[in-house]
Amino acid sequence: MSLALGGGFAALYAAGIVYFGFSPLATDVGYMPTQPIPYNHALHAGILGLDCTYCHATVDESPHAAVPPTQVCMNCHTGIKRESAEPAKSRIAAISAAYAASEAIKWVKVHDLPDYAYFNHSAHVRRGIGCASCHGRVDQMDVVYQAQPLSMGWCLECHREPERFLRPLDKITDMAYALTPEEQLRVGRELRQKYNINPSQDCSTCHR
Amino acid sequence: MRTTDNNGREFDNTADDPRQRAELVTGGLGFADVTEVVSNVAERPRPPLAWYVALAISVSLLGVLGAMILYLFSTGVGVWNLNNPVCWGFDITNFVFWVGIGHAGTLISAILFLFRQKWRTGINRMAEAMTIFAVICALLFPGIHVGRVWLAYWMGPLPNQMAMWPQFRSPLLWDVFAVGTYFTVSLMFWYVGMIPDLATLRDRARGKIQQVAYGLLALGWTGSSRNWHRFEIAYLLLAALSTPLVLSVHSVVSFDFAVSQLPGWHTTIFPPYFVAGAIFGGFAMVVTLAVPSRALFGLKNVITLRHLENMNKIILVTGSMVGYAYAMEFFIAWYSGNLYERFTFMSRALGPFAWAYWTMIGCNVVAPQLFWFKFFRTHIWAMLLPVMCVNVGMWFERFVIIVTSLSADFLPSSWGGYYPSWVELLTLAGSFGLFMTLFLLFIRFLPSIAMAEIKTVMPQAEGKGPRGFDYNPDEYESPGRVLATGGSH
Amino acid sequence: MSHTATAIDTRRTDGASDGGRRLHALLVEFETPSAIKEAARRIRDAGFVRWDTHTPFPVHGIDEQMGIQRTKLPLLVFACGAVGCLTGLVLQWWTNASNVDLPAALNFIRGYPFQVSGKPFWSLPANIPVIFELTVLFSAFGAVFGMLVLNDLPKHYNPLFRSQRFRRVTDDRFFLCVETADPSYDPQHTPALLRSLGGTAVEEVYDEPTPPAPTRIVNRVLVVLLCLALIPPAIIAKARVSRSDSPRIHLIQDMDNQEKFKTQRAYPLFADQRVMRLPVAGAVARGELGDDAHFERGIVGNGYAEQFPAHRPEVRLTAEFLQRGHDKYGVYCAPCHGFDGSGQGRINQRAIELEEPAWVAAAALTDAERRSRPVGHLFNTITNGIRTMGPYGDRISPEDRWAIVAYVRALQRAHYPRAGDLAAVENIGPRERDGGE
Repeated sequence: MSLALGGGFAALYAAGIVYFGFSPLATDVGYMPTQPIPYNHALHAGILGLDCTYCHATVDESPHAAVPPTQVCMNCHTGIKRESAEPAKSRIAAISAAYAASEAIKWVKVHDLPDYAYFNHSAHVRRGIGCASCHGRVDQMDVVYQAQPLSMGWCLECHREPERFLRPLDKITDMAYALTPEEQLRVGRELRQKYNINPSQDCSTCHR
Repeated sequence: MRTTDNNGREFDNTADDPRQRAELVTGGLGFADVTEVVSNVAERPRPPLAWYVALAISVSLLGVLGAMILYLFSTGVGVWNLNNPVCWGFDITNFVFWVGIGHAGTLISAILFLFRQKWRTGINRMAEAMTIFAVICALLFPGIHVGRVWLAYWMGPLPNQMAMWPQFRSPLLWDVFAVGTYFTVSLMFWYVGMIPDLATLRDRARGKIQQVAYGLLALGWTGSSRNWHRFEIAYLLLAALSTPLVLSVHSVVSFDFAVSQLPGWHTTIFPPYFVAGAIFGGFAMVVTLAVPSRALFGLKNVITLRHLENMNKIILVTGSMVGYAYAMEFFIAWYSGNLYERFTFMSRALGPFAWAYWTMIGCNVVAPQLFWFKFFRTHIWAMLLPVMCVNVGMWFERFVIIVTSLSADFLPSSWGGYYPSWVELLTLAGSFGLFMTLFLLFIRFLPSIAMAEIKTVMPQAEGKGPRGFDYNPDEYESPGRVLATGGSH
Repeated sequence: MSHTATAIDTRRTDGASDGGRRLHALLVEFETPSAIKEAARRIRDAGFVRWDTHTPFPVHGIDEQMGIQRTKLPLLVFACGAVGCLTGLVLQWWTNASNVDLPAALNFIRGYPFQVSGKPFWSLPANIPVIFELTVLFSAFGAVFGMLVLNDLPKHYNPLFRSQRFRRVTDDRFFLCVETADPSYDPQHTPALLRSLGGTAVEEVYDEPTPPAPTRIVNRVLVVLLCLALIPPAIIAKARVSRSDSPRIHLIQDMDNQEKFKTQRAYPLFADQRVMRLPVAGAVARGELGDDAHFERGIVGNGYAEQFPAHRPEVRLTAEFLQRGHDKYGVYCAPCHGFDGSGQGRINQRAIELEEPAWVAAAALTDAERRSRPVGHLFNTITNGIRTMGPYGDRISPEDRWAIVAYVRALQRAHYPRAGDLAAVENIGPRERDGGE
């Protein structure tokens, strides 16, 4: 009897460790790499209210949401050179130096899908999936981190019930957009019909 | 056939005269003698030198296997010579070969048990152990054959971060369930049968380590009659469950081929043909293992010549069934009028792999015919010749089926050849190392003969003298009763 | 073997404790199966309940002699088999054929019918092998574990193991055991009865109240293991709530990172390490010849275009086009020039707050100077930048730039309406006036 109980407990324990410990919520979410220059999304996208696409301009036309060329930084930072934050080392100076030397800044990719998964940004943002749905409240992140699992099961959640996440096209880059679950379902169903959204769940949709 | 036992006395237990019943235990042994003879194998301080030599060779081969698998994992399946169109080669050949070997053990332990063949008691433990170890070798190959063993959990229906499930419509997944169930059930069958004998070793153990180890394994068995009652029912039920299971396993393995559409694979004869072949090859392996084991560990009085002769008869029967299947495949290929089917079989007999085909025919169909002669059935060295032929031939059978069909299918432009790389050859050799290592350790440390079962078939169990007959009229007074007590009688 | 060798001291067979020891049972030893069968019958007839026989092998016919009821094990096995059969059926249907909405928390066990080789999602013949195997597997588990549980095994501590004599029970001796806890046990008469059974020996078996040493060791090991077992959950809890710049844990990388060129990746082969290469000098991509100076540069002849390039199908001065201009203006222009074109965008405001010496204040797009500029001039400024404003030609397509120009014109007009514009606003209904942007 005690053996059976012990065995049952051990099995439950092992299952719990695997369920909680092997989940992407433990292994992937919260990945917050140190960037070569500590760019602050909370300042630019939050306080200054820059639209996501000001920098990530290709997101609605291309599979890849491009990291902006250094020149985009210089659009403003030719004129603005003062640091607002405390660190002594000048972040803007580093940008200017890289621009002057025509060197690529090696930004670290935060949201990195495996190379065997094909994801198309334009297909999603043009059909009502907001930036914040996958990337979280970037406008509140001093340093960007991975907020969602980005696992296959997580992708399927939306591919199976897109109405839980769809939003109007003019709210795609709206970080603060949020409805109550009931309201979201109502709006989501309408939008699903309007945009004719029938996400595929076949293997070859993402693995080609 | 007169021969001598351990005590130098002459006896004949291979008589074919029905009035002269064979003794299942020779040498006039009593209960305590059986215990002594069998336990001695595990208890003697030092096994014979030959055991050490065999273990050294086996462990070396096992090391080779480990190295080959490491090399495979670290480098990838490219280290094997597999490619389109021959994408299965040695890996699946070895898998089917080893699964087949296992079948004889289950046949002896389950089917012969249901048919109340008392002579099985001498060899069933060893045969069951062989089943377990053969299935371990078999499971190895599908496990490693994609080179990514860490994805093995995809084969089970486990919830995961991909929200994916196994694809139950594929025969390859049926294989996972069939072979997995077969391994689990065989392991339980083997272990349950071994509990009373482990208790014997526990009660005789002198060293502390042996006491604890055998004590833990024996689960506190006391030989209680109330326990024996349930034990025998459970054993009978396991035998009844294992019988359809063993037939299903090689049928499912054959589905890997038969459910596809490749000429030479897509035939309905495959399931029975595979099962017959499996039993055929398995018995050859049991004889191969029993002959040296009984000689080395002084078990000739329990694994008698009659046991070997009976197995040789089964090899003759199943070998003929396999020969019939080979002939029928050709007949159907011709009779079907299917161009591709005909070509495949002509290619098998006359094409680039004809050498393998005729090796298979020679070993599997011609060699066992020697067992029509009593001389070959009852003389150790004479019986080893056909038996070793069968061991080789059954491996070649799988090789022929897999490689000839894959190498030349419907489209001549996509034909291709195949020859194994050194890694594949060494992996095959290494799998024998794994098998032999496990078997040698088993022989040395576990009760390799089912002592309790042997005691039930001894005349003393029915209150007779040591020279009683194995036929006991009392048993048949109440047929229902025999069923109820499981029939280790 | 004589009886006197193990003569029983009746003073100690009353079940009372003796130095912590308690009489557990009486053992009678026999040498043949037939002898124990006869003895078993007599003990059964005497009405004992807590007694048993112990034999090296299942003695044929002893079940009746002892009056053992046929076990219910087969029923249990049948039930397990039925559960296995059902499990196989439901498992395959659920995973491969069902598509039932579940709460988000249970999404990981939701069924996933995906297409393979055009096979039907649900077709019983293909599911029979697995159903069969699971039926056998569950039945076998039922048989083995049912037998062990009903037999009260594993039971590694048993008072009978204290008897040296009892060790031959797994060899060649047969034992009959009557427990003192039996209601019919009588300290006076029972030993006498057992002695009269004709066994070769009768022995007392004592139990000891203290647990044997191995139990204490096992308990200590268990406590240590339980403490160690708390460590993994702690590590997992930390991993789930904290953020870290250590790489994501993908123990098995497989093809996560393939050796192929992907957008904006680094590649060490090239001097600048960029995998994305510029076209060879002089190469022109399809549609990018740049031969339409009006559309692509805003130039007609030698001066700026006064008109929109109406010859291009992309440029149509419709409400939709203006809306697109509004959207793009909001993204690219409003940060400095403000949503109203006043030049008071957030970036401009911040630069002034920071008192940046190099900052050139963003122009008010609605002032007289900008209103008087030809559309080609505005287009050219967007494309190539001016003073500290950077060029946007590479980031905004020509038609979007024209849309922005059109929207800027609309902004200017909104700030400086002409006569009659207000009348037009008066004429539109209240709904459009409130809802329009």
